[in-house]
Amino acid sequence: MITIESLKKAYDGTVVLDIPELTIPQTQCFGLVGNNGAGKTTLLRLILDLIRASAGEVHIEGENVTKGENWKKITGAYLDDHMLLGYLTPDEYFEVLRKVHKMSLDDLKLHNERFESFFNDEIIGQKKYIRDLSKGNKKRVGISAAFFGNPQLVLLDEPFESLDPSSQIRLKKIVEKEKKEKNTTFLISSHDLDHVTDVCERIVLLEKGLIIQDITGTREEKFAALNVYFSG
Amino acid sequence: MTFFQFINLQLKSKLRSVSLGRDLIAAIFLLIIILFILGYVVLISVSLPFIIRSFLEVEDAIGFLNGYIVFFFATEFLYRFFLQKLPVAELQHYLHLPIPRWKIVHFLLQRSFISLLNLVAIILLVPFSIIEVAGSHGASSAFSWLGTIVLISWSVHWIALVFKRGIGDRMIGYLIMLAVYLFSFGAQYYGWYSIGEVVKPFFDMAISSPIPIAMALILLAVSYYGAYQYYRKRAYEEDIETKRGNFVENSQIDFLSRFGTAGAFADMEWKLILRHKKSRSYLYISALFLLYALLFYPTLDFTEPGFDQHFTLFIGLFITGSFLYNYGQFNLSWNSANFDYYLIQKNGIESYIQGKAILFIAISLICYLISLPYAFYGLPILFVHTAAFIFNMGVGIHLLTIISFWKPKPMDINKSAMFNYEGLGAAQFLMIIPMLAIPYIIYLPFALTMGYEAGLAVLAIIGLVGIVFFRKITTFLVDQLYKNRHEISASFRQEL
Repeated sequence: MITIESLKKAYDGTVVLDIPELTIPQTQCFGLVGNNGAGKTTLLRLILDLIRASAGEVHIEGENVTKGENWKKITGAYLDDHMLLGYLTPDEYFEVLRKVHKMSLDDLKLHNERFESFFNDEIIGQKKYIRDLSKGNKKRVGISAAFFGNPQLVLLDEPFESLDPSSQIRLKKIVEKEKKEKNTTFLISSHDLDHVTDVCERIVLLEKGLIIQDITGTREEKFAALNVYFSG
Repeated sequence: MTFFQFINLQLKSKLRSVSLGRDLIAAIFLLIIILFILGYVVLISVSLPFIIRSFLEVEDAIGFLNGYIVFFFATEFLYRFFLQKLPVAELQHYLHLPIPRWKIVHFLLQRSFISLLNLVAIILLVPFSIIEVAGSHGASSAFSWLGTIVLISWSVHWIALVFKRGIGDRMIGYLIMLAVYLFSFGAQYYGWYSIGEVVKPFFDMAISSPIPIAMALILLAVSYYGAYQYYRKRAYEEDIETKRGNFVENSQIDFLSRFGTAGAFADMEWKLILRHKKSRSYLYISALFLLYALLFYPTLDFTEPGFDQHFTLFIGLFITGSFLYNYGQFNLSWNSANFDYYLIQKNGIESYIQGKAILFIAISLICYLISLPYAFYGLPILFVHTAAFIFNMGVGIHLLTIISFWKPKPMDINKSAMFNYEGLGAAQFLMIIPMLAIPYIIYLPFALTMGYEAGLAVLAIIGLVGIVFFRKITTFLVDQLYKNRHEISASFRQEL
């Protein structure tokens, strides 16, 4: 799904990310962990071509992300609330996305039904602009927006952060379901080791822009490996 | 997504913006300004033929205008440069969606074209082209002439957009621009050579030939395409965030550390001013205000008692308090993002108010000292400025502070100050009235009966009393702010 070749990002000579090679196969849930400044968000932004790479390339389904834009049709993402339009209500925003993704009204209804328990009656039909929503509710809008148009690849930056516990668990269920039913590939960065080991079969540990561990195995093995690193 | 949908969203974002949506007064103010400017443009446009013929007594009105049209474009470039900005921040809302990047950039560019500024050339010259050009050369000539000018004016739109981005906030860019302008206007004025005359044949030709309008059309296409290429290359998130890699310099003012917590707060405020776009602009504006007196002092007569003498007080108050009036009008709003921080400190509010006062006094003192050479125009200026300064320090600061407690508005100080009405409320509009009226109410009775020296003396004495009772007054102000603290902090969190 994603192949990364000698990707580098530097700001004024300081290298913040350096990945010689990384391949993420289809239908894998790929977790990204690391302390602050490890380069998680930078990697996500580079994959989405939101910032320029200093060197190297990212390919999604064989397409160089800086050259073509077909990959955008199969990719959904939510990194931060800049991606939302704060002056719209959630319903209006979803309507915009519906048009952008060329979905029918039924598609939208289906989508909203999928997220019904995740929204918990706090998003749809609310007479509030997105900018006035709480952090958690903004996140719910953004995460569900990333699933518009049935993407084959979904990138989420710290999706569990600032969600309440029930929503965190519901989000995990949604991810599991999408994986099973639609073979969706996920790339999730997180500080929450519990959730990320639950939901991702492969976890990459970043430190100061470098991949220092590539962990697969059972949930317990992954959790143990991460625990050793973060307690040390 | 279509262009129409995009424009619809943009319209919504304007109508629902925090500053306009919540504040009717700011919206009305903005509307009045726009109507005023448009009114002036229409007035000039209707009277342009008569001004040139009857007032300037020029026979060949078209030729005369053609000789000066280049300065219209130069002026237009200038105001477009300062007023226009491509809203590149919009990019980050759309880049991750399945909309091609080129399309978003086109949307943004075309959206920027929907602006009253692009009507100025048309409004300004339609009456002239009908009365003068069509009158003597026929309708098609008028169309060709007007079309050439309008198309060039629209090209200036795109060129200014690229220039603005290219120069950014760099001082050297502004200086070069200033030099070019001064040189070309100066050269025309002193008659060394005239750019107006150089380009005049081009516009003369537009009346008789379609070549100029065709060239203008090509210029428009090329400048749009150039702007598109330029912005297309820069349509990345990292180009929006200018904060990264900003060099942080240590700008500690050592003498402030003598004043304890209040001094530390004053120092913090000084850093806030230097490190934010909006506050920096207000600091620059305050500095510009120091030149304000140059408009009046050379022509005022200070020897005779009368209007000129009394008017000087107005200028004196304005100059010695230029920072107070400009920066101070948003007094609390500058700290709207971290007002709660002051609330939770021990003696936080007290130190906050004292810190502001220390900063006001320090900067006003500098303004006062810089203004002293104005005494060259007459010794009375020295007395007026001194009295105005003392009054501002003893009474003005406290007056300003108490007014600023009245419904302050939150604002984002990272945004530029140009046409940004965030933080403006009724208090900010009306503030200037008591700030100028009260000193006059005190001054005039004495000045009119016993001479202006008496009025100034009374002002200075009242100012001194204010300075002596500085702590007492501050305590009163702290009580007032303390009473309003919940309301103010709620308004800063935009809960009202």
